[in-house]
Amino acid sequence: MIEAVPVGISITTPEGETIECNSQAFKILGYDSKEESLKIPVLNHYSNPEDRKRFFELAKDGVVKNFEVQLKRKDNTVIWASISSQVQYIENETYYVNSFQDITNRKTVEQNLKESEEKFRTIAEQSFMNIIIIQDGILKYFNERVTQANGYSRDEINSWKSNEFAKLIHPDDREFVMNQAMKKQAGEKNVINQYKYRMVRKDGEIRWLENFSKTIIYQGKPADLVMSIDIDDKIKAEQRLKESEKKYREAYNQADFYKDLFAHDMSNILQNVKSSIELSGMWIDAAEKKLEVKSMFELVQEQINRASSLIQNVRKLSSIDEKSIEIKTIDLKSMLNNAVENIRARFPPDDYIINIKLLEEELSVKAGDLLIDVFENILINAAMHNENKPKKMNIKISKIQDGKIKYVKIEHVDNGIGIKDEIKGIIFNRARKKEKSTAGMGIGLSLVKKIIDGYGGKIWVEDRVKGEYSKGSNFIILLRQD
Amino acid sequence: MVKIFIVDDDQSLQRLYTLILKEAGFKIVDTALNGKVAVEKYNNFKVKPDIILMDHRMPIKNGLDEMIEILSVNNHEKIIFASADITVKEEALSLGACAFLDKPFNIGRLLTTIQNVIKELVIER
Repeated sequence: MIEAVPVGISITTPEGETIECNSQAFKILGYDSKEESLKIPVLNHYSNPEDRKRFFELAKDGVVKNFEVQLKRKDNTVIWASISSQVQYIENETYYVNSFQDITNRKTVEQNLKESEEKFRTIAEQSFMNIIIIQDGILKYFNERVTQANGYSRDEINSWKSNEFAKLIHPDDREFVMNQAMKKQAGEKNVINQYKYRMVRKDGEIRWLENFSKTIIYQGKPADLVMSIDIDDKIKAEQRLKESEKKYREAYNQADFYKDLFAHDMSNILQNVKSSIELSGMWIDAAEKKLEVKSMFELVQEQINRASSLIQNVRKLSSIDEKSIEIKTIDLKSMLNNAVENIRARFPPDDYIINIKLLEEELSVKAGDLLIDVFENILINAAMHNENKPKKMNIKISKIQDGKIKYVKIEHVDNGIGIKDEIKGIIFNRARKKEKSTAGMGIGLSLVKKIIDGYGGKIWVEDRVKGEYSKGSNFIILLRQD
Repeated sequence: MVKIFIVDDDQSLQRLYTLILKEAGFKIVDTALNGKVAVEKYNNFKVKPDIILMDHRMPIKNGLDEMIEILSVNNHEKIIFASADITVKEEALSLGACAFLDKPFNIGRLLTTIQNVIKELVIER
């Protein structure tokens, strides 16, 4: 019967003698026959003699179960064996009835696995990446780097319930990231192995991570092996670069726009000058054309002033771009009166009628010396886009409060051709190529907008009569009260 | 007498063109400060002008858009562009302008261009 069982069976004595064994027993130990095997003292089968003492210690209870030990074969090779033994007493003599089997293959696999896990842990703990194994929604393994990255302690993370780690993921990215984690834990194939997402640290800080994750088999089941790296600095640098590129593109477009407008307006000025001089040349000897020649000279003078004003505006725009705008206390009434007088002087008295309705009290605003350019440009633009005779401009001043900020409101109401709704929003910021062809507002309003923005004020345009743009416009400026 | 309609948002240029063309013997039928007004005036002309001298870059409606509308009413209309915006020259000519004067130009060039257009008109009629 003992020959029929697939394990080694032997009977040994405390003195180390083998009394009986089956063929499996001597074969496991590498002997050719039972007789040969029986001649060998039991101690000689132990690779480490100390293990024999451990056996005796275990055998004191009468039974030894699954004692795993290294045995030495006949050819001195070492095998792993699992020994179970029962102590028998026969006629005052002690015997051990042993059964044992070769477990070398299993032990080798276990050893390899152990070494592999040790290697993984060694690498993982040294890694600069966050490494996590997720299974059943639980972080089964995570390296020290993970605790540094998210701010939670090892104990806190270990106490999390299934899928509680979702709180580490930004709400906007959570659905996608959790979906990927679930799929990988389920061993599904249709997954994305590399992606970026935002992590929410324990202290609330949000940081960008790049994830590299895949399904692995961990402890016999699919699990999600996640390796992630902090790319927050890189992402923020990219964002800064994009913002910088956008800023420079806008600056380039702005410069291109000014250049285009400048060239266009200068060409018109030169056309005026050229034609005036040519006409004067044709009429210079004709006495009856004396008045016309005089008016041609006046027109040339006017165009020179226009060119001068254009150049000044371009210079002012450039200076605003280069440095921050100066803000101080400005006497609004005085500056507005000066601007109106300057513009009145440029037009025949009956051609352009400008009325101002001022408040009686003194009005100080937070602005600067460029404020006069704002008023002059608005008044000139209004005149340029008005075919009526006379052109009319009514300036009204009032005080308003927007939230906690007190403003002075200056309304410029004209009877010009008006501005269509679709153009109202862009007339102050026309540095876009596609809008060049329907220009005519010139550099002036771009300058106006920049100056008012610089003073922390507001500017927009409304219809003089609501809903009827063709009846004229109302350019409204808010300046902070001083 | 050849009738000319002047469209330009620069009022002093309108005045100069008027003086030059009157001096050269043409009749100025009207002027307009932008494309929108120009189209409205054109549609209201009982007798259409022979030639339109037209700027391109104007508020509300530009010269190209204005030309398209006018040519849709009368595709024989002779339109001479006078613009500082050289970038639209090719498009203006392909859409039906009969000549393009890039500002600044001299009076001689303006009058020669108009004379050439008048010759075309005579042949067509």
